[in-house]
Amino acid sequence: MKKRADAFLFAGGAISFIMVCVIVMGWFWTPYDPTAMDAGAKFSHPSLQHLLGTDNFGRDIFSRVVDGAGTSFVIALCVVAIGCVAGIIIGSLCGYYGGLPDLILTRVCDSITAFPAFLLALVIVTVAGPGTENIILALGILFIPSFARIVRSEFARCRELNYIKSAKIMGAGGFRIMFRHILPNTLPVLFSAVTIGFNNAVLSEASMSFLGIGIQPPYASLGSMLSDSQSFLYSAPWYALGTGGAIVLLILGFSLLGEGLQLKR
Amino acid sequence: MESILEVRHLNSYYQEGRSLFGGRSKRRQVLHDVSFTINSGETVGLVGESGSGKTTLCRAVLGLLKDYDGEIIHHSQHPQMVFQDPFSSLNPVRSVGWILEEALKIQGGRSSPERKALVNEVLNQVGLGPEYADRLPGDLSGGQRQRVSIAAAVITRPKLIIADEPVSALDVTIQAQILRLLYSLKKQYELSYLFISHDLNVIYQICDRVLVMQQGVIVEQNSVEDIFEHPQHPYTKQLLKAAQ
Repeated sequence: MKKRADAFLFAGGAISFIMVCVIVMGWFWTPYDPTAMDAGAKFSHPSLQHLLGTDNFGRDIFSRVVDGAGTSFVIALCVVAIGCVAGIIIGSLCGYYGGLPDLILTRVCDSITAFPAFLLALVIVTVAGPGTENIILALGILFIPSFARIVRSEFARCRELNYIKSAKIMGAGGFRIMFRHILPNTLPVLFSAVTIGFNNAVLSEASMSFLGIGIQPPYASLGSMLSDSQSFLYSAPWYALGTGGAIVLLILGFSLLGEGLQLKR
Repeated sequence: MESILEVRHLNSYYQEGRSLFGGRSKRRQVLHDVSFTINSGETVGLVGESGSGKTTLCRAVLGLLKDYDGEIIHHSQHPQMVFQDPFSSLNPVRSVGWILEEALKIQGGRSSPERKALVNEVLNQVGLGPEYADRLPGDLSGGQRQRVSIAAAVITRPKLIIADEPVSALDVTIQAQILRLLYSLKKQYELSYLFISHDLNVIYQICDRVLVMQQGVIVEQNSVEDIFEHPQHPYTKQLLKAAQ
């Protein structure tokens, strides 16, 4: 079991590390300008000039994938950050204090979860208009309940343990107990929740862009590229394969990390 | 002799079967007219079967009970507590040094070097040594953990420590060491203990006075010699008989 966990952690760490390096590199330098069109080089096959070929406007797919992965990555990070921070605050207050506020907030979270997530994101984006910030906000709100529920159950479990009672007897205040005594105990669970949440965020952003309510052209996003590529699935299969492959690698790395962390526990 | 804790006519209650829709819940009485005092430097034993209200009495003395009447008068600062199970009483992700320093931080009023010095001092006093400050509770044995719990209780220099079955989770040789440690700390700091145990041998070894509790009532309180030599109440006799 330990060995398998280490293998997962190593493989996940290696894939994620390479992906993050490529993404960071993409912020400063890509082989071609991801939005530059070249009418003479439409649908080039993958070659040394164009690693993953070019698309219907003659844009370099590799550059666009790197750029789009960067966009997806940043959006996913922001979404997870919003969900995680708000989830920790709501979950810790509910789990530690309990009572009526807990009951109400838990029901609110349940009803958000019961709603088809996508529909809600669709509504928010329709009302607020498309744009990176709105996508982040919409997905961020959707991700709060899952984190809140995990944190809440951990806090409710720890609250009854003797070391927390002992801190209370020493005279520690509620916030001190919540964030200095209980929160560090929830970190292993939180880490795996973050990796799973990150994957879901990448997928959700890709699906939204695929449906055309995510990142708007001409900017690259993995979801919107995948959506474009399906029209040329037979004439330019490398377009779909390159884009899909990037999504798979991005998610696989973090999934393996999460899996490894969970096994390690 | 100077008293450190006085409890007068304490009655406590417990709500049974709470319901969301305000259905009738029973208010059951746990402690019935409990009165006793603990004097400075005295170790008072509390014996009784499980469910007799020993833990409730502890919680009352620590100020954790809401529904009670009667008086609980502390003549010193807030008491500290040592728990029975040394495996759940220490935060598993924090080091021994952190746990001890945290107790001082909560109390406040000391600088960081002062706190560090006190942590090292108290680690020596409980027989562990400063090198244990970086260890996690998971690396320690049951006896060592109980020493850390005791260190965390005495580091803020309280006058009263409530010990809820502090040795019953340990094996017999370790029990004797921990009892000796409690005794030497008591001499050093003029501590008083409220010492809960179901083991009358332990009570006999360490206590000056004994409270016998049955169903929320203190049925007998006397010096340890009198309790063991001339028990008055039938319940005390029964307990002594069972221990032989």
